Amino acid sequence: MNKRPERPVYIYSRKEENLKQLGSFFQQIKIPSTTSVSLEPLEQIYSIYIFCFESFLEFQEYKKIFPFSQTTSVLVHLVPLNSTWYENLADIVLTNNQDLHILKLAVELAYLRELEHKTKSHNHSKFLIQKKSIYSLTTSLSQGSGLGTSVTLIDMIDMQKKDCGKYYEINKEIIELLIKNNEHSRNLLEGLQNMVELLENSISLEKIFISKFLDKIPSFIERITSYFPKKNIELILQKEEVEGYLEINEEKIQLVIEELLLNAYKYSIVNSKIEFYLTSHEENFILKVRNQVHPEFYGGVPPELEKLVREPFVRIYPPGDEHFPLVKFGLGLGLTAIDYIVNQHNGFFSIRDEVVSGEKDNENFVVAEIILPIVE
Amino acid sequence: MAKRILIIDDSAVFRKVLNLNLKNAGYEVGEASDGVDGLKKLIEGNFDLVVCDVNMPNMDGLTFVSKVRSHEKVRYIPIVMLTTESKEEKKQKGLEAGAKAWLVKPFSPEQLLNAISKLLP
Repeated sequence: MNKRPERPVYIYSRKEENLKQLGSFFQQIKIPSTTSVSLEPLEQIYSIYIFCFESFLEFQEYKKIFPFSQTTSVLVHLVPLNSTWYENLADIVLTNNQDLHILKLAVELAYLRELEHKTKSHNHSKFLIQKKSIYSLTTSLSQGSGLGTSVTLIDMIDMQKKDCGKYYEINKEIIELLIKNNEHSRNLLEGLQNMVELLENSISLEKIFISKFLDKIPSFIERITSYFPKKNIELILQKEEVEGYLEINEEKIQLVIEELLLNAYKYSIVNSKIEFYLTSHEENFILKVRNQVHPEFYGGVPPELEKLVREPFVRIYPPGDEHFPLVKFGLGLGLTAIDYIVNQHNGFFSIRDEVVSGEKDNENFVVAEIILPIVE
Repeated sequence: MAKRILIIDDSAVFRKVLNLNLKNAGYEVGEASDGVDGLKKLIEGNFDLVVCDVNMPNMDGLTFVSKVRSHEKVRYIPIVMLTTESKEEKKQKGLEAGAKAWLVKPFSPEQLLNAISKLLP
């Protein structure tokens, strides 16, 4: 029969609350335990190593460098620390005389259940993304102008054509519209091609002094801001003097800035302001664009779509035709391109709603933020 | 006398396509670029039917339908929704709000003209 462990169980978590819960659990079942809020130093004196990581990815990364993988120690991912986990563990351990072997099995079982849960929720969110992407792509292809309109125009030609023997007589206006609409269709396909090129080619980074980068901003934004008067939109540009360097690909960062401003412009209400801040916080350089949107009908990023909207083809609202000469990544690929480029710069991109209490009513804004590391 | 139809859609190209299609079928056509513009033109004008998009800036199509249905002067004018929205849930909302037909883009001219002729005999 297996004996109760003589060596203590090691428990790691950044949260004191988790450590208290687990420590008390092992105390109840009379197994010694040591708790720690930091991973270092780790000695090979424990019977079981239990790690409560914030994410499954963090656990997987740590598993690769876990120093005692060849020993009988068990590395367990324990997040979330929920009641089910305890119930399972307590049930098995208590009914099996607090046996170490059983405890290990219980821990492994809990890990497998956690893994299964993660896989299921991963699949669930994957399907949600796929569903939203396909739905958005259908909408984009059928929207105001582009491929959907070509289909309608060709139906109209088919309905109205007059057979003149060797030729058809076709309404000139329909042909003119078909040609005009073709520009939109071509733009959509070019957007796809731009995205493919972006993904296929590596992005080389070069060091640039931040003040030099800031000097280039007016030329970066010129193309997009020249359209702002059409909606009577004023640009507020605020630059903070920051020491240090950025490691960037200038061309791609210009693309990111253009896409950020274009996105803000597309969904801004008329007669409003677009604010563009270039600031720093600790070791990071921040680019922030804020624009006002209609509180009900158009624009805005609901919290449940904040991550989803960066996925390919996902769109919350179909864009108006008037922006199409500015669009480099049609079909809902603009934010995907930003996300991809920023990731290649070891940065982070987010987009969210912001509601500000106004004098009469609340005002709704969308805030897009890019964080890039400042280098020495 | 030709029946008058108001088209409400934020896409100028799409409005032209629709306009041409309806004109060729013998209707007189007016255009508006969103719900706010559409409501104003509908109240001021003398239209027999509306063809309206759903997702538009300033006022969306569903809100437009509700506003029309509660306006004494124009409440009985039939509205055909012509949209990229194919979700059943959205369609139900539109029909409950008072739309008379729900067609999905890209539309077939024949299908649209059939729907209109049923509402404007």
